[in-house]
Amino acid sequence: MFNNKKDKKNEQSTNNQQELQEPTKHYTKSELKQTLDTRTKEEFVNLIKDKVSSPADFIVKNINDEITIIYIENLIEVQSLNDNIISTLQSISEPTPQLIKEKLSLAQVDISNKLDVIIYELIGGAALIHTKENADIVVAKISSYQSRSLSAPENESQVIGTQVGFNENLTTNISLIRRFIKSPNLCNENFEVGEDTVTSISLLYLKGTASEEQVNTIRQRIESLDVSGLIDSAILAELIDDSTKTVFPQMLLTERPDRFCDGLLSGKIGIMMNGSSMGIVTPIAFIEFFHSKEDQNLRWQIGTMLRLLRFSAIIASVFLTPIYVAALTYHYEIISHTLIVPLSESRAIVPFPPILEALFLELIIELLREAGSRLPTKVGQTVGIVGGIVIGTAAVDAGITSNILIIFVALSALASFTTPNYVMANIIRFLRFPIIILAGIWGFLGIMIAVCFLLIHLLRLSSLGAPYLSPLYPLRLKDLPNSLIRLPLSNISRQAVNTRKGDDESTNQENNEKVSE
Amino acid sequence: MIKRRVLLYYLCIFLLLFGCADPKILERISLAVLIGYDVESADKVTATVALRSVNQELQSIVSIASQTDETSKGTRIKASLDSTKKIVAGQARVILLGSKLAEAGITQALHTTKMNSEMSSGLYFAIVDGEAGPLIERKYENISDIGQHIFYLLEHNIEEQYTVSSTLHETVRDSYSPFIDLALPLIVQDEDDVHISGLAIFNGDKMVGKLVGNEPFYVVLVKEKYNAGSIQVIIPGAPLKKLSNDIPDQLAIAIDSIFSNRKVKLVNKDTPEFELDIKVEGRVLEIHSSITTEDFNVMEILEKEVEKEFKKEIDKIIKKTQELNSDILGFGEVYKANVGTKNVDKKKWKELYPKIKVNANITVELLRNGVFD
Repeated sequence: MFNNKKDKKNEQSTNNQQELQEPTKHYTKSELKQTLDTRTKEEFVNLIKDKVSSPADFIVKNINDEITIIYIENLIEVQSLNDNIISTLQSISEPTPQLIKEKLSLAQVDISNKLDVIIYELIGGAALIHTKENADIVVAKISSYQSRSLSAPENESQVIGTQVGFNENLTTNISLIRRFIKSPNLCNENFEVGEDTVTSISLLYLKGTASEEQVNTIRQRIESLDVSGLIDSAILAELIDDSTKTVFPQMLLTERPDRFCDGLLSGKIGIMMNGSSMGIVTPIAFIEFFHSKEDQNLRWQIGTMLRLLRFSAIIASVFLTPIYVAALTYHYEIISHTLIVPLSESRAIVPFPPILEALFLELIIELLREAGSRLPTKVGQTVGIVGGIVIGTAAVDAGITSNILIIFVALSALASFTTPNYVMANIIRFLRFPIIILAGIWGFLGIMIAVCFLLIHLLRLSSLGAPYLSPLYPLRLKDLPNSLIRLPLSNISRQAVNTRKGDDESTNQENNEKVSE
Repeated sequence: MIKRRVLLYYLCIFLLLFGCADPKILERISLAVLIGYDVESADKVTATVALRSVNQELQSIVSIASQTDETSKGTRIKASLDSTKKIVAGQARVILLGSKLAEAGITQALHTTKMNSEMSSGLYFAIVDGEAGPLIERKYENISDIGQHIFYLLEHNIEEQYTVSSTLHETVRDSYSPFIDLALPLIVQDEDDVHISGLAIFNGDKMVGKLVGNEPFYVVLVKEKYNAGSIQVIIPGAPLKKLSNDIPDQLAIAIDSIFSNRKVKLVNKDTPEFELDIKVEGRVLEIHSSITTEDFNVMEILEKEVEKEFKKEIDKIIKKTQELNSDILGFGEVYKANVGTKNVDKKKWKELYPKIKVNANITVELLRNGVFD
């Protein structure tokens, strides 16, 4: 999956004694690897200024002859700079980096003579303090980070359950997760990915619960990433997926910390990324995309009912329109005698064959949805009304479509919205189109071809090496109570079979522990 | 990898080439709902079809087409020349056979229907007492769609077990079995109405007689189990005379919610002799007002009388079918099961059937009466 070129690069980057190459305007991280030697104030300022492409907000502040502070204006907290650094430095007479570090009343102060370290700290929001004739630079981290406050998750809202979602700040997100799981076994490994973005990525898992093998796989996949930039965890998920050719995602994106932690507890691996409000949970089975955390929070009878409702809605959503098309085009025999009169009457003046009629209506629904989701909320509602009522009734009056198909199409659109996961809901909607076309060409034969293709495709997929269709195939009896249905908690094993550590008899025994115990 | 891709291309081309299925778009076809067959002459058959289609004014209309040819497909081709839409038979619910055709043999009609993959195995067969054509063609005052009317007529009566079930599946099954004869519902046109008059019974594939009135009830009683049947029997009032003087000579009693169970046993292979045990449980729904149904003894007398009446009727039917050599009750199947297929064949059973002896033992239990008790 990842080619050898990247591995070579990694080797290079671990080599600290890399010589500085010809200075060019564009620096890569490895090119900055060098140790500073003693420089004068001007030399040091010019060096740094050159390396960070002399931005307009680059500030050089001379406290006195001996001490110079360099920082980027928009990244630091001015209050902290004034109160904690400048006032302290002014009172120091014989400054050495060691002394400054001791004197500064800040939590995060480092001393470094590595050029790459100080450059990245500078553009990460630190103030660099240069003292006369010293190679060591004091790095005072006073970055100001603007992030929105925690709010309720909007895309995965639920009635019962925690009403807090992740935000874009990795630190806040990790603290949220740590509030849920106070176990010392919670491992948090940090990675920095992206040549230009240098995005922090946290790999979270419960030691002893998560499969060592799967953690290694994920770690290796993240380490061998070679990208210039990484903006959202959805991109990261696609980059480290088992297969990128399929429409089906093999990693769950969630903005709910409770869902995320639930995954960690059952032995899954979580990945959080700075700048993204979505956490990645893997390995995940196909069925789990249709689970909502709310099923767990309700009583098991209601949870089971909701899940069954959702699964039947998905099947209806994918197959209702194709069945209409196939039955009306080829298989009039299967239509019940009570339905045949209203069906044929509603289609009597429609000039198109059922397949065109169905595609036309499905397209309208998709247009409405897309228009509604791109527009501001207030306008979006108007679009819904205009589209739904005006186009719907007008199309029937004009004789372009039949009444009954409008009901089917609206029903299947409605059913597709029951999928709690937005990514999967999109796929469910997308799946309908090829099946409608196949149904229009070959009738039920076409639908069966589509079903077989889909089934084989799903069977071949895996999420982090774990079978995608489990626990249905391969049949995992232990996981069945929490799949299509949801049985009482005492029947649900804590750890999914997909995340078990190995085939060791004793570990399997441990996995059988029930939540109630 | 390349090989797999080439294979995929071949698959696509193959599917696209063979794929162009024959579309039958619902509003562009005429659906034959009811098909009636009559014999015209020696080898020609007349098919009369009630067609349902939809017109541009969004109304569903029923039209009738009738053609004569050697094969039923031939009649369809001919009828197609008269029709603006393609005629398809997949929504056919009932096939009616004229009694003349039934007397000549129904094998051909059955075979044609069975051969047609469009046909549902759940469609009903029925025999018309007279000709099927005029029954379908007639304009009835109160029946707008004759096809639907006859379908509902049969479906509801079969569900209520007033007559035997005659789906294509069951009819073909019975006609293939050498040890049971067909019994199909008999439909009759009566002035401006159509109703079920009884059962047409067959010897082989030829109709040989009919059972009318209450008789189909007893056929079902012997052949099947009742889940919720009902019957009205007339028993002599004499045994109850001592209770009250108001009791008429002929006492009508209506029984419903009938649950029945029957058992047929071959007791003597040589005669052959059968033991037929029927257990009936039911509820008295209606009886003359002078009879006190609360009285245990009265109920016992009633049960005895009903048993007698049942036995009389069943014996009568068995005798009648023996005269016509039509084993509609399926004693042949029991006989075959006991002696083995080697020792009996169709010809031998046909010889044996008129000679069989059936001892019918009927137990009637009247569990409740009405709502008061």
